[in-house]
Order: sequence, then C-alpha cells, then structure tokens
Amino acid sequence: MTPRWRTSLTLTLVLRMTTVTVLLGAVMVWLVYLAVDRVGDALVMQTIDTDIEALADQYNAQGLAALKARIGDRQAVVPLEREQPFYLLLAPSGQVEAGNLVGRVEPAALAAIDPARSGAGEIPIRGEPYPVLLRATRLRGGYSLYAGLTTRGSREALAGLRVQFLAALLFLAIGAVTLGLLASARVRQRLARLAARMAVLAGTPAPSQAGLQGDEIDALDQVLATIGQRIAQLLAAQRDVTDNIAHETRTPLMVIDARLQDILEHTRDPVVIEHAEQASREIKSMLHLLDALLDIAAAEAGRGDADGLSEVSLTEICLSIAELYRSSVSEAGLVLAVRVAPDVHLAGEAMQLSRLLVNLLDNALKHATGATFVGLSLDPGPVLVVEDDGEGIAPADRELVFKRYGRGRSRQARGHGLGLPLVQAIAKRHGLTIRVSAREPGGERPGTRFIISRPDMPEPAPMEIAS
Amino acid sequence: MTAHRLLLIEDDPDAAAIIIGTLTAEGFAVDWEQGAEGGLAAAARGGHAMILLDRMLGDCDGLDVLRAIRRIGAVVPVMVLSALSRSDNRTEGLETGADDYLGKPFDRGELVARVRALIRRTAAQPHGAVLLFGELELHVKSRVAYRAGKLLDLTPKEYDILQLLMTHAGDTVTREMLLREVWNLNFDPQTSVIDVNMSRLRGQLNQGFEGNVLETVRGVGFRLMGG
Repeated sequence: MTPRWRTSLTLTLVLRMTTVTVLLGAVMVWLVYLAVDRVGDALVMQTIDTDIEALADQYNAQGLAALKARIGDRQAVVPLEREQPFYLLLAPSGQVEAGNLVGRVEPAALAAIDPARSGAGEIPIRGEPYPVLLRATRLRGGYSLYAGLTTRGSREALAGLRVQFLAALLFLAIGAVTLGLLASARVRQRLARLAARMAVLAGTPAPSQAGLQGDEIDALDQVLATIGQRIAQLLAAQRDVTDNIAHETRTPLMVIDARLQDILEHTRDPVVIEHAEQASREIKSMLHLLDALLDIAAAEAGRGDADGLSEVSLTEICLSIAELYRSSVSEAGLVLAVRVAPDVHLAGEAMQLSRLLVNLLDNALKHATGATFVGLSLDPGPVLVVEDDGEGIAPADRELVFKRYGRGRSRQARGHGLGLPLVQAIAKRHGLTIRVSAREPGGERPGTRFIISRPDMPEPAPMEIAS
Repeated sequence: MTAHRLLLIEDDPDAAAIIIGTLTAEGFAVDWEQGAEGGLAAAARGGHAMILLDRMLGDCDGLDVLRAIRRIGAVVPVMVLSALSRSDNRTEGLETGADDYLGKPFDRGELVARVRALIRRTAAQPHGAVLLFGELELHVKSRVAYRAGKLLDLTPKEYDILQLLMTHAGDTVTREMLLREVWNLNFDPQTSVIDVNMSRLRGQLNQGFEGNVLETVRGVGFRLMGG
C-alpha cells in the first residue's frame, strides 16, 4: 500500500517545505561560517604582521643581538590567550640564530614561504593540533625572520560556532515540521468536511482517502465529477418529464378541440355554440398556462449555464419590441416613451430576452390602471427599465408579483400570474436581477418601475414624462 | 389542377385523422405513415410537395427522422408538428432543418394556411423588383408601396408586413408567421398587439379608398383581397 505521506497533498507539501527551509538555512549558515573563518585568519595575520614589523625595526635600530634577545623574551612569555607564538631567525648561511620553530616544522613546508617576497602561509606544526599561520621577511644583511601564531583560538571558536549553527538548523527543521503538520491537519480536516458535504450532494458515501486515487484535491475533484454527472442526469430527467407532460397533454387536447370545432361547424343551437366556444377558450388558456410553466422550468434549468448563450444586441431587441407595442400602447390611450442606448450587447438568448420584454410590456398594458404613459429605457450595463405612472403596486404586494400565480396588482386581471415569474427566471438565466419599485413613492400616482440589471447596479432615475 | 400530395408522419391515430381530414377537405392528398422507418422510406421514394412530421414518434425523436431525410439529400420542405412547442423547441427544430414548426394543438385554419404558405414559398420564383396584387404595388429595392398609384405612408415594419402579405398574396398569413417573419419572435404575446398593428396597417392601406384590401381571417390570421 502506498504510504500516507505520499498520497496526502498537505503532508507532501509539509515535507517539501521543511526540506527547502532546512536547505536554505544550511546554505546561509555555511556562508556565515566561511566569512567568520576568513575574518579570524585575517585578524591573526594582522597580529603577526605587527609583531614582525616591530622585530625588524628592533634589528635595524639595535642590531642582531637585540633582535635575538627580543625573540628570546617573547618565547619566554606564556601567552594568556591560546595562540602560541613561533619564531625562527636564520643566518644568510641558513644557520639557525634563534627561535622555537626548529624541528617542529617540515623543511619542505617552510621552504614554500619565501622571505625575499615577504611570503605567508599556513603550515602544520608538530605537537600542536592546529596549524600555524606564518609570515617571513628578509632583514638587512641577508637574515631571514619567520614569525607565526597557532590558529588554535579561532579554530576552536569556529568549532563552537558549528555546533551552535547545527543546533539552530535542527530547531528550524523541528519548528517547520511542527507548524506544517498542524496547518496540514487543519486543512485536511476542513477538506474532509467539504468532501463530506459534497458527497451528500453527489448522493455517494463520504470519500475515504483509502478508496480514492490521488490526494485530497483529487478526492474533491472526483466527488465534483460525480455531482456534475448527477446534475446532468437530473436535468435530462427533468427534460424528459416536461417533454412527456407536453406530449401527453397537448395531443389529446388537440383532439378534443378538433371535436369541439366539429360541433361548432354542425350546430346552430346558441347554447351549444356558447358552451363549445367557452370550452375551446379554456383549452387554449390551459395550454398557455402549461407553456408558461414549462418555459419557467426551462429558464431555471439553464440558470448559470453559458451554453446556448451568444452575443445579442439588446438595443435591437428593445427597438423592435417597442415598435410592436407602439400601436397597442397608443390605442390604450397611453404614450409610449422609448429611450434606448445604442450598441448595448449581452451574452444571452435573443428569444428569451424578447419574451422578457414582451411580458413586461404586456404586464404594463394589462395593469397600468390610471396611467398616462409607459416608458421603456435601456442603458449600458445593461439596465433595462419598464415603467408607468399608474396607481402602482402596494409595497406589501411587490414581492408577490414574482411568485407563481401571485397576481399582486389586481385580482381581476387576466392571465395566470406566470408572466412576471417567467421574466424573473429569464433575468436570472442571464445573470440579471429584477426589482420593482415606485416612480414617485407616496405620490398621487406612484407608478411602477421594473428594473432589470446586474445585482450591483444602482437604480437609474425615472424617465421624464414629456408634457 | 393536380392536388398536392403530402406525406404525414404521425404516430397518434386520432391526431392523424384530424390532420388528414383537415387537409383533404382543402383539396390535398395525404399519405400517412405511422412510424419513423416507414416515414423515412416514403420520404426517400419522393413525390411529395411537403412532409408533415410529428416530433415524438414513440421512442424516436422526429428530429432524427428529419436529419435522416436531409442526409439522403431530400430537399422537400418539412413542417414539424409537435406538442413540444416552447420557443426553445421551435428554435431547435428550425435549426435542425425544418422549414416550419407548428405547435400542437393547432387551429385547423392555421394548419391549412401554413401548409399553403410553405408550398408556395418553395415553388415561388425569386422576388421580382416589383410585387403586384390588385391595386397594390410594392417596390422591393426602394421599399415603397402604392395603392392605385397613390404612395402609401408606411413605417418600416408596416412595409415588412405588407411585403409578407403580398408574397403570400391571396393566401392567409397567420399571426405566428407575422411574429416570426417580421418581429423574429417564435412565441405569441398575450395581448392583441398583432391585431392592433394590423388594424393600423389596414387604416393606412384603406385611407382615401372605398374598399378594404386587408381581411382578418377569424382565429387564423390575415389575407389581402382584390387580386
């Protein structure tokens, strides 16, 4: 079985982050360590240079005996610090005149440091755990002077630093792992809760890590895929049901209506004619009701689904429908005011958007009691407003008009009370909302405004009524 | 004149009886096929002025039959008759290759008018520059119309309506045809907007003349008179 840390995204992330943190920490520590090492050696060499310059001055001022005496003095001093001084004074013939280096260094190593060029270097020394840093110089008369210090102090300080740095790296690693594991546990807990909720939607048992391929996100992805399939199945089932309802209702109704028409053609009895015509009208009314319900169901099923939407000109739709209604509005004794901005486009279904506008204008024509005008305005956004200056809708009834069979405005009105619910379903299908308000709240004729726009758009000012 | 022979593919015998009765009473001859397979075979044999195709043929979608008809290269006009008559169903049907789409239940007058219109549309020659019918004269390119030589003052939509009526001169143009051809709508508004528009057009056509040239065919649509 694959180990847990390899299948868990969060655990893998924690391991990777810890590794990167520790590696970056180690690189930083190493760079600091190298810098400290260089600075330590430079300081020791600076001390040696000062010392060798002082001895050379002594030789120049007081001669060879004085120099040998000074070297003897310095060798006799037991150093307080841990660096032990070493000296060597050679005559031009190579004979040793003074110093404590004799016999403690390899002649070959010493030969690598050239007094004629004031050479310097690090050479091992017998009896000392650390090498010695050495500077050589040529004195007047051909004498060669070597002076040096062991690196014991700086090396021991560096060794201490190494231990401290390693301890710091260890703490860093432990800290990173602990914090990472805590964060990972919390994220995994929340992802598991999310997966369990999604599993309820998908109608499947909550996913267990053991039964799934991949990490936590893969598990969510698999549940989401199941939800997608389920939604598709439900939509297909809904479509089948509505198609069957339509078929099983409409075909028999067509046969009944045809029989009624036959009766009407073969009778002159006014009572029979009246009843047959009434029955025929009721069949048509029932079919309109069925159509509206199926249209609402279709618009709601498509909500949020961009399939079937294409770029349409809301401007053209508004102008065309306004033209269709101009005569009817005029015949009803009203003025149709149209203010449509050019080039307003929307990703939508042209037929549904036409239906939306037709229903709003039908609604205004049927219900705008006491009105003198009906206004249609379209602004970029889009913001579509259909308004009138009639008696308006009581504030308490405003939400009712969007409920199926709501008929908030007038109980006597014709229709099934499905026009505005369909408008709302179509608006939602296009990511728009519909609001209803008064043109002049508290006025004698408050009027009604239906505003269709994106949810975050402010309400535009009412249209001016041309006097 | 030889009667036009039509092919009806419809699985419901009651519905088929009504359709056949309606069309034969108007002088059409109708061949009836109850299933998709027989319907397709009859369509392949040819000889029909048009096909009336039901959408829900048992387990088979009539639109699949329509696709098969188009696949064998038949160019015969097809009218889909269907209980699936919501606007998206109609759009789907027309996009699949139907020439017309009539929702069930339909008025019998509407069926006859639509069948005539479709046969005429298919048989019609391309429009000439000038359409003539009775006293009416319509110039297609310049978009102007005259009655008895008098220029008619028409809005662009009124001109479109008159052109549609003159294209089908003498035949009934239904409300659905007007909504579809002039306003590009495939649903019926619940208020009488079409009747009001037609009444206004009638006023324009008859202004200053004695006789009416635009007749309302009750429950079905409108027809030009005086040809």
